[in-house]
Amino acid sequence: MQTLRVVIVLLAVAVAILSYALWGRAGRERRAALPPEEPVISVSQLTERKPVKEIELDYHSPDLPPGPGQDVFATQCVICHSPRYVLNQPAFPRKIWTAEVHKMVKGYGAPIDPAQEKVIVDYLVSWHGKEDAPVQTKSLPK
Amino acid sequence: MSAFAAACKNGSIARTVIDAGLPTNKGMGSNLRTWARYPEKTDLMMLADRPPLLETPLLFFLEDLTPNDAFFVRWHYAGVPTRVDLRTFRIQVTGAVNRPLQLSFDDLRTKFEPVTMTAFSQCSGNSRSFFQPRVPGAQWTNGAMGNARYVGARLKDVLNAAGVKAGAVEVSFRGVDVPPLQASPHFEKPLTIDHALDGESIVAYEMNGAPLPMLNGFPVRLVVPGWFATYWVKCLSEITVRTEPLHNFWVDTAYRVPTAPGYNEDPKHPSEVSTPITRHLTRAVFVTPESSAQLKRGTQVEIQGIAVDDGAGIRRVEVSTDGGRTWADAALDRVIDKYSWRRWRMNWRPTEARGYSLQCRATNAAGETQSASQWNHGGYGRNVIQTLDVEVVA
Repeated sequence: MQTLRVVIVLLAVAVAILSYALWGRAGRERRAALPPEEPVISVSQLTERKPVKEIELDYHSPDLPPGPGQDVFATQCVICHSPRYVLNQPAFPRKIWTAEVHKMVKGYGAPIDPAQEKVIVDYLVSWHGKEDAPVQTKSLPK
Repeated sequence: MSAFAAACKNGSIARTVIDAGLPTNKGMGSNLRTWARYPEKTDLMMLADRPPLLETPLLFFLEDLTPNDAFFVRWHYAGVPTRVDLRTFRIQVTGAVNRPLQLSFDDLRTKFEPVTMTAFSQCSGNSRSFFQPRVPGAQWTNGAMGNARYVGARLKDVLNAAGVKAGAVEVSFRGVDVPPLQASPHFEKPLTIDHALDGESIVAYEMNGAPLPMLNGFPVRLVVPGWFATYWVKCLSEITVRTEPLHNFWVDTAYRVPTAPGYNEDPKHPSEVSTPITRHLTRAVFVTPESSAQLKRGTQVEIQGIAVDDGAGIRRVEVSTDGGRTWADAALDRVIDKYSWRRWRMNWRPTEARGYSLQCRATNAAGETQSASQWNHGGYGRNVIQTLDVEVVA
């Protein structure tokens, strides 16, 4: 009887945690109150009546898991994009992460030196990637 | 600690949620996404927060015009424009022109003939998450697209007002957004001079009867109908007439596709030649039912979707309810506009309680249709025949 109670309590806790993880956060974001509706000003009256448009962007950036390289990622990569850009990618093999990080340097001018590139790739592979599949067509010469 | 546990501990549950939404390369994905509400926007699926990448849920595509607050958002760098003052905002027209221009918002509105056009636009990477093998980039499902009615000045009229000099080969476009670093390439895209002067593209200052949302390019956006949205430069502020073709990262490295038909290449042997992505490929997309819908045996359901192309005109959409073995013509709604999407519908009464594999394919006036397989390394221009798996219950 005691065991049954413990099992029930544990199950309830597990369900609560899972529900929070899956729906709690997204649900809160979705239920945010609507801002008061502003009347739409036609384009012909815009310069006269509301010449300035200004928006403020909320902070939605997630934290990334701790691990070697997290600090380098947090300083060098986040200049141009949020960690969510990485979270949204599939867990790529090392080869693709290596090419992606290099593209950031070569294409987008990210201030990442070659040693840091390696650290960032290792970090991405460690929690959101996988090692390349071994080449199966040929065995390496002994 | 597992990566999952680590992500949860740090509050980064987004990963779990997003991966759960993409079970296979088929179907529509699902709505198990992270949602967020940005300024002037309703709840949209958030692929990234900085820069904002926001995807439109399918249900909005039941309307012929995609509402401004639901229209998808895609920027390249974190520093997106957040403030524009129309009293100081100017569009510069410079380069190989006789009279360089500085046009205000009201100049554009009052000094040129207004043109109204309903046009479809989509991100070059729309539906990228369905490619197998998966490719890096914004992992859109089918919602990086929309159809809107724009009012604007013809690009041709603006260029003629400046007077294009002989020897011009291209016109390039920049917005007010600036790159985050000195070394980062400024986003700038070109059109050939003939394309820019063909009278089709407009500099749009109104979207669905209202000013553009900031995140969709307020105050003016280039509309290049029939072409992917990478050319629809937002917050347009610089138009440069060029006597030499523009070479930059955005032309020479990014947004390039294989030269083979259907932007197709073999994942094992990627194509060595590529070309900038340009026009929309012909494509039909399911809007309803969604893959999560539970249909009832013996009850009629309307299958509905939209079909798009580069402006030649959708002529036929066929639907299969048996995984592509047999096809039947869907009914086409009226043509909305030359470059708009076109809606199609078909009534269906499933007779058995089981899973069905629905497919749709479009054909346009030029005879272009869709194929059963497609892949390219950039995940661009997806137009493979869509398969939608639905469950029919007793």
